[in-house]
Amino acid sequence: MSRRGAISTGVTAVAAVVLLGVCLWHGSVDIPAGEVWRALTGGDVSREAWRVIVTESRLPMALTALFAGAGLSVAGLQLQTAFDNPLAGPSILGVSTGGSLGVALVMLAMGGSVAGVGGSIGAIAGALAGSGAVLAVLIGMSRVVKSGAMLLIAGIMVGYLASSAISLLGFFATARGLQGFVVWGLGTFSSTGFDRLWWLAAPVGLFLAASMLLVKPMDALLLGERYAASMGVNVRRIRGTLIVVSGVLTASVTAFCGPVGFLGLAVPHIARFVTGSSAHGTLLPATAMAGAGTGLLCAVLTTIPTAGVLPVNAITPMVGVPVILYIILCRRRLHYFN
Amino acid sequence: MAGYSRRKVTAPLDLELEGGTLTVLLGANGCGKSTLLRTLCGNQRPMEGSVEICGRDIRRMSGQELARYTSLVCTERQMAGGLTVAETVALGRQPHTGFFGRLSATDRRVTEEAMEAMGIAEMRDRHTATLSDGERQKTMIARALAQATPLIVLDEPTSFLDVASRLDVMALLGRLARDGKTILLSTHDVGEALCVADSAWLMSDGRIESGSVAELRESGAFGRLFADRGIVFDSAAGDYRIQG
Repeated sequence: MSRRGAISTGVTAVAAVVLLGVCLWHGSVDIPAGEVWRALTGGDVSREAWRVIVTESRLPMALTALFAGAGLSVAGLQLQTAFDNPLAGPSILGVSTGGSLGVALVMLAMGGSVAGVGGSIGAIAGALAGSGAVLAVLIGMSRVVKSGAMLLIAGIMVGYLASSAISLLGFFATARGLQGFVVWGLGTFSSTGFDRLWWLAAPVGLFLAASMLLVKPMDALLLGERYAASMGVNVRRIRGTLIVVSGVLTASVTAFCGPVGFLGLAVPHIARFVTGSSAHGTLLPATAMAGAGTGLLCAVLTTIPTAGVLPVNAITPMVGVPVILYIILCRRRLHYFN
Repeated sequence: MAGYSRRKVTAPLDLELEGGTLTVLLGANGCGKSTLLRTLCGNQRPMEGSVEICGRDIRRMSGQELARYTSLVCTERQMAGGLTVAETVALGRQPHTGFFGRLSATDRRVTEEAMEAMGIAEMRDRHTATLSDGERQKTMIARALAQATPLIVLDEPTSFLDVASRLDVMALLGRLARDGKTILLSTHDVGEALCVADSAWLMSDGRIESGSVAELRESGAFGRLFADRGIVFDSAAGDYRIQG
């Protein structure tokens, strides 16, 4: 890792830690920072309600945002490298929506309410199946469609198709179930309690670690298939592995947080911008850190209104879209950073 | 030989490359040059027959093993502008490094030597996005050099280059061959290539005529290559021109 890469990854990690602190401290109820610290470390808190708010509401939400942000961002980086396309990402390629359709099907099968479904094993299985189906379609199309732009449009179309199927399913859901599903569909970091957090943290943590094992062939893929093959990389196998890993990351997050948009697309570019590198040994950890930080930033922004919590997908475009537009408008950067 | 849609593109071939020589592969577009080179690099399996490098059949090698015998430079424009020149050249060490691709002292030394040999050592910290086409192609050749293979295959490496860079690259390739590398190069820049080539493979109508450049000149084989299209070989200039 270059000096700049190491420093910038460190700075990103510090920023993520600071945002974690802000996320725990800030909320609709004013709790002094010292009390938050005591609640977390098991000290005496002046009000019992504060302890409950910090440990049972804010901490799980912050950790969910952290893992969701890191997982989606690394999934985005993997898709960008696998499809050799700087504008690929789990939401734009319809992978998140596919996962969401899977969850909707499970929800219907389980009686039409998402309340008991979000983050359950059934939802995870449904999300995996849905995301997997979309990725399978994309792999099939990528064999035929050689243009990256056309593949993106195909992905967007598949996403729309899944959305439409979700709307149709909503017709059969109970009114309460539908409301729950709509809220979940707008993205949420706050539906995960501590009891279920492991189901998010374990697969995301595991597959993030596994991603580090793919750094060498990912670097080779940066030069294009032909060069990668000439350097001994089994291109088809690596691409397949990357797509499966990114699919599991996306599905795990989607099962808990709903189809969260833009993070996977934008954060790898933020990481490239900060580290000034495309080399995955630097870029992948930086993307994970920046993803965790961005997830936490979005979580903080959703708690700005004093009453209630904003949906995550109301915030992520405000963070993601400027980044993407900047990349597109500066064509040179597009070339430079991928 | 396997072509697009499994069409046989050539009659039976029996060709040999001698170590430490530069061989240029000439032929019209679509005659199967790239297919031949892909087969030689193991990108594509031959429909029948075998390719041996240093006496070993490439069909019995894993991709990683083959990558220690053959390296490739092609026209494909690499998109990874965010890698530095040194990082790109060091990618050539991949067949020799371990699972995580960590560079040993030897890997760093070989990378450094490859950059020196291509005259790009001073730009080692520049992002490849900021390079000119010529500089970028030299970086890719340095990467192939760092791969430390006996054979380097180049598929039209000079297509995007201006005259000066073309000559520059050809001269560098000639020097590599003199230093012991075996080089096979397909190109349309006949004049520049013949200045440095030891031998040639002329591909047309599914046949390949091979021999040293001097032999082929003498036998008139260069002249026959594009004769049906009214193109003649000017032996004095060492290049093709329109008949007239």
